[in-house]
Amino acid sequence: MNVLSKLTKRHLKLNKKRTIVSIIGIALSTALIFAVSISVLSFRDLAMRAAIDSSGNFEAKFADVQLANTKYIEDNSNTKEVMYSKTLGISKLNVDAKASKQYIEVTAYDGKAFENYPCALKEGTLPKDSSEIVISENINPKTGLNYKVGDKLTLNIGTRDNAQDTTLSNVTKKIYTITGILKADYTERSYSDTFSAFTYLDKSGLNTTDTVTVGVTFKNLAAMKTSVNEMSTGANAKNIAYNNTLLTWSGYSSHDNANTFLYAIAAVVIALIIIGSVAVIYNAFAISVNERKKQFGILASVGATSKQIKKMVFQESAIMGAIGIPLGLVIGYLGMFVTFSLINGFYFFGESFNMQNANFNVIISPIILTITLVILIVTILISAYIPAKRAAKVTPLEAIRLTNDIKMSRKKLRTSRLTQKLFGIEGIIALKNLKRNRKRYRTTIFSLFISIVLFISFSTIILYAFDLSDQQLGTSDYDFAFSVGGNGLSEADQLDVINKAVKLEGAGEYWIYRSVDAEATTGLSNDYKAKFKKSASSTNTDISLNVSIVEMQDEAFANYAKEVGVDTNAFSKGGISGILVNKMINGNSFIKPVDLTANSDLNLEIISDKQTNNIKLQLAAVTDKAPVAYGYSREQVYVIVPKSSMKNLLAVDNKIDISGYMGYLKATDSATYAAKIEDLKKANTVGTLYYTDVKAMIKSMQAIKLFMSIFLYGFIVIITLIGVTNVFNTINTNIQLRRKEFAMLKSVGLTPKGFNKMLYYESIFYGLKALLYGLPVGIGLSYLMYYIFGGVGVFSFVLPWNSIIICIVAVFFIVYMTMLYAGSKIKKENIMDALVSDII
Amino acid sequence: MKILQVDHLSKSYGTGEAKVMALDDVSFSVDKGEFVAIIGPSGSGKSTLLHILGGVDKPTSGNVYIDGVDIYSLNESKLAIFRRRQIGLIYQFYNLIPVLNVSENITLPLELDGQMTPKTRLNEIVKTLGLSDRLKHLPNELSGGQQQRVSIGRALINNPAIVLADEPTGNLDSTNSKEIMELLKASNKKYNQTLIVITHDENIALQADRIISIHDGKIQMNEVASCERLI
Ligand SMILES: Nc1ncnc2c1ncn2[C@@H]1O[C@H](COP(=O)(O)OP(=O)(O)O)[C@@H](O)[C@H]1O
Ligand SMILES: [Mg+2]
Repeated sequence: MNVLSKLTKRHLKLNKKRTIVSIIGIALSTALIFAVSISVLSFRDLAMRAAIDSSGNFEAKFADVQLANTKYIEDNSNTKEVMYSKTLGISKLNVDAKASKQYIEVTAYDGKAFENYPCALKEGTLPKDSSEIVISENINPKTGLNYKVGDKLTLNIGTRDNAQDTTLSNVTKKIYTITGILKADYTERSYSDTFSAFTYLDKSGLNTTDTVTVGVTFKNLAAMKTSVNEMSTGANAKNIAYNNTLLTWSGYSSHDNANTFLYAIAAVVIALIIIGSVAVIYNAFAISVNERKKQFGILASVGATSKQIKKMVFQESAIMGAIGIPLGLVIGYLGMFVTFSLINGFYFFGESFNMQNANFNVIISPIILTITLVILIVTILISAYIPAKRAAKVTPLEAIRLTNDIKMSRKKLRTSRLTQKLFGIEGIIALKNLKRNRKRYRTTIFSLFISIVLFISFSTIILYAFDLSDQQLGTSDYDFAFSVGGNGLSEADQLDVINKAVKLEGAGEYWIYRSVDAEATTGLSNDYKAKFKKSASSTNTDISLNVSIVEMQDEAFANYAKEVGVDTNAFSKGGISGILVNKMINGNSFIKPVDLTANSDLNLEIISDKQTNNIKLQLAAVTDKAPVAYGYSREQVYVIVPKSSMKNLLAVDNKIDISGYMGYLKATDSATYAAKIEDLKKANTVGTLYYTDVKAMIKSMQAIKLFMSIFLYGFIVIITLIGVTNVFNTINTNIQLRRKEFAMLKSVGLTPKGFNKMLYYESIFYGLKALLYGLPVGIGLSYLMYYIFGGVGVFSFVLPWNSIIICIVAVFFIVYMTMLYAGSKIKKENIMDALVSDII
Repeated sequence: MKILQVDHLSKSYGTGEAKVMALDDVSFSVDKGEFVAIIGPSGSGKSTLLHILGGVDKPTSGNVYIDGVDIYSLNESKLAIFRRRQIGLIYQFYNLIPVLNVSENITLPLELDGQMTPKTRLNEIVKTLGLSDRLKHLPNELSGGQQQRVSIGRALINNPAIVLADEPTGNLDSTNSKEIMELLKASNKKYNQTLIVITHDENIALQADRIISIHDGKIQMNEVASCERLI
């Protein structure tokens, strides 16, 4: 080892604290950049797995390809894997005529197709030849049939030209052996009338003119477009489908790219981290070089070239990087590992991705590892380059004469008389020191600035993205909501199912509604007219109000009428009458949109397929009390009517469009009820029962919010820590450099109390400056977030006071603690030791 | 009347082989208003002694009494306040505060004491020091002699009971030296201050009421100044 490297090492050891703090800064920056990259990749990986789970692991699919032509697809140089499938047709099952699913659809898969398409078994084995079949798990519970593995299944398979057709054509009889039961999550749609079943596709049994569907994965996705064109022309296959979700997440979608957004966020975040890191690392080297200026000068005077001196600085950076970067990679990896393990412990991510195995895996690719390394190394090199250049320029004379690298001028140091009056001599000295070292203090203030801005704007994200959506959910006055879907279900069928649902164990009070949409153009209040004019598009000049006519079942209606204070007899006279809920949201307040009183008529227009109907709706009462599940709206008002009125309304025009029934329920025992309703959903054969468990939704929302908060705040904390390392290095060095000055002040009678006072003022001046820049920018960004999250006009902008106060306290705390720490040694130091010391 | 009493003062640096006795059992006393010169070869312990007298360094053993107070028994705050009110210390290398201008540096002890500086006092001092037209200058804009005069101003502004000066003219030419010594002596006479000066200049030493000569940390001679002995 040559003498220069020895000097560098000795210098690092001598300034152990700063070296360690700088290495921590480098390590944290590395960890953060690495962790952000890992998050992006892992999220993408999860999304891709979700896409494969739900739609299969293929990228493009050619339908109606003649078997003879498949070689053009299979033999393409860009083809990685091909999978064959063929839809054989459907067969009627022997089930009740009312059942929502009446048919079974048989598709044949070859081995590769079974591997790659969504087709998970609940029990049994996959078919190995064309006489074996696996059937949907839903068949038995929904039809009452009882098929078991090993049973023979006889099907008359044919096709229908139209989904409404009841007769099949080209029917052939086939007898299969059932070898397994299929998890049908992705193989059949709840709204379709067919169950799914899969047999084995034996290509040798097909004619060369028979058509099949060919799924493909590609070796090189970037060249997919060209390959697909070649295949399509060669095989004469015009019917092409892409696996868009998967392609989107792979980054090769032809249209709108979900990745762009994800990558943009990651880029901004990484940019912020880099800015923070450059500030820390640059600062560390700048300080280090400054301290050694004299040494560099002496070395130069004995013949060291500027190249050698530069090399010393770079060597220093290499040593710090060699320790800091690997340390950071380990911290980043472990950090993400722990975070993902925690997240994976919660089921809701699986729920929201609708996946069996929705676990985040920690994904590291050589690319991100390289990118992280390159970013860090470049950051360190840039940070070292400028100070190194400065160091190399030091001439021997300059260095030996040098007492202080800071140029001072009287003008720059001017302080006002007011400062003198307010803060005394301690304040003056503190302020002058701040002014003298402007450049160096800038990095400190900048570090604090970044943390302040991030903290305030991120807390706003959390506020607007979560708290507000939370508020909306949190105020729900019911626990469960349901509806029934399905082709050609009668109203009675729907009502039947809902009536079953509301009487399950654990159910409490319930409400069943359905509604008709109407429009009012007369009887509107001035408040509403003003609101309408403000929000309406310029083309629409006729002022109108959307009115939803809501039917309530008898018992519930009677209760509601009683609450509002009308006699139910008022509704038994025939005609159409109801209770107007005359309250609407306008900006941050409410207005009464209708200018009518009880016992007057509300004129409504209802447009049906047939005609426009003009209806007089008699208002039995006008209230501002909304029924359960009907919060106030921004777009419409509600008129609550009894069954009799709705019947009369529908009698006017039988083509009037009416919504399906919707049920709302308060549970007396949510857990029991949740289990029961799930059972009912599974066993239900009439249409499909849909339900929402509001409490569970709120719970998972809150859990997501908690995790996002941990993520975001964790990020802020680490960025702040990086900033703190910077603040620490700067302040500590500054105080060390002023050791001699402090000793002088003490020797002319500065007391320990006065000393603390001086540090205290210096921290205040620092903090004030950082806050002066940071708060306005942070609040500005907050407003931007508010704007982006669509808050304008919906709710008013609130200054994030909590975050502002936390910021102010934290800034002063961090700065003052650092000062106190750095000052504590000096305060205790013997005056003469400091005065004769070589530093300055 | 005794103002300063030094009892068995010792100061050592390092341990074992490397141990240096900078002061070795030094005892003496000084009367109020007396002008004492301390002489001795370089490295003999003069500066160490002066710093201990000024309360800015700590003795290894022994005591310093000023006006009957054992100054090293005071706590740090009390000692600091004592220093700014009772002692004016002039360092060989000025030790001014670089961010403060001339007048701020001079009035520093008063400001630290929370006192208003009487304009007349400041004017009188800067006039005698010849710094009237340099009040707003920063130390780095001054010559060595001017900086030394600022540090003298800082030591005298408070009318301290004891003025301690460590080779105040060591870096100055003879005209400058003479002026500065006149200034210190005038203050010594006018306010009946006790003045202790370290010097290599025999002319200065001869002006003193008493000369203390130090060798290897020990007092070798302590008597009224007389030409013959010195030569
Ligand atoms: N901080 C210190 N550490 C170690 N030795 C010191 C220190 N300060 C002074 N000395 C030693 O103490 C002795 C006296 O020094 P000093 O009082 O400065 O001498 P003088 O002022 O008479 O030239 C010298 O030998 C010097 O080397
Ligand atoms: Mg000396």
